[in-house]
Amino acid sequence: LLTIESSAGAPADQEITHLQSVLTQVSGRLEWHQHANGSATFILSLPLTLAIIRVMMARVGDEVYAFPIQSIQETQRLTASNISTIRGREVLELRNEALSLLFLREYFDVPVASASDQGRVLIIHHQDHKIGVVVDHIVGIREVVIKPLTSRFTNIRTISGSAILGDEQIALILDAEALVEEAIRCQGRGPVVPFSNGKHTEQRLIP
Amino acid sequence: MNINIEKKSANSIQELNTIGFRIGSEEYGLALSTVQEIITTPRITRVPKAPTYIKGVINLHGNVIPVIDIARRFKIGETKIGPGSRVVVIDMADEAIGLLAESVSKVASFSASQIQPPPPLVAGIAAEYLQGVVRLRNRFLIFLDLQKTLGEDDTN
Repeated sequence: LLTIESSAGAPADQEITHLQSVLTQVSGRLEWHQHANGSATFILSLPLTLAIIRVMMARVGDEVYAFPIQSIQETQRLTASNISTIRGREVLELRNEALSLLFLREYFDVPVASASDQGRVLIIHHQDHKIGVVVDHIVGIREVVIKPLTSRFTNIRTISGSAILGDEQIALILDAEALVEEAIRCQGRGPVVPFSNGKHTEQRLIP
Repeated sequence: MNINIEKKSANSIQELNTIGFRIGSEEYGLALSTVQEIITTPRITRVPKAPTYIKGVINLHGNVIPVIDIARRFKIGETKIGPGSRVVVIDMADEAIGLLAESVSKVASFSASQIQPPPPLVAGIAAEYLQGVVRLRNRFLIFLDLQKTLGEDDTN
């Protein structure tokens, strides 16, 4: 077991109960001790299998990137009919919403030999925001073991770690929160599109 | 882990075993004790947004480690990857790091007293990044200060 220890002010009892039930679901557990001075120590124990995550693999040029599946709402084709320009920036029209787009090939300066199609969009959500990340192709969904990158890479916020694939090659795992922030930041001044208007999509995770 | 060049007393008979690796026309020396292994250059995965001297990351026995291009680090060109090129894996305090080399030359032994202090600039590299230089019969080895050269917060 991997044990993470931290100190903080004690939250309400029901929050602890909730956290305990969440951790139980993933075979983890929460212990906490209240100290005389009002502070408390929480010990979260998580099984190492949590280092295995489900990712959607997507290709950009000759490079393959891994997106944690829980942050992907759905995937879409990028066509002339669902892309439009609002105040000089390209957005994806998705069921009456306009989503900011992050073109991964340009954002990551991916070297591309030929002008292949940037034909797919992963709709990524984080908290109240969602954006589209444009890739060339979707490779598929895999379970991968997270391999951490050394500290010299921690300032690259859009990359959270790496995974070794079946063919021994490495795919970088991207961070949904940072991608959302970058899509919004790179696109400039436009308004941030709120996440859903109560409408929920049934079209989940279909490559 | 770095070779000790402070001891220059004439009666020192300290032997240093080193390997050389070549980038362009220069040959760099590494104390054998810092070298973890030498591998043929595997496929390197580029890391976007990383400094250009970080060539990428490789899979070394299931661990993902960075590979650094010394030539790009010092802005003196780029290390060419070819059939002879190797990754020299060195053991730094908190991480293993791969150094990209165009070729690796054989082990050389000499006494510590043969190491000379670096001139102000060697092969485009400032003396502050150098530990010293060694003149052998027909070779000239440059010893880098690895901590300084490979430290994280120095360039970009």
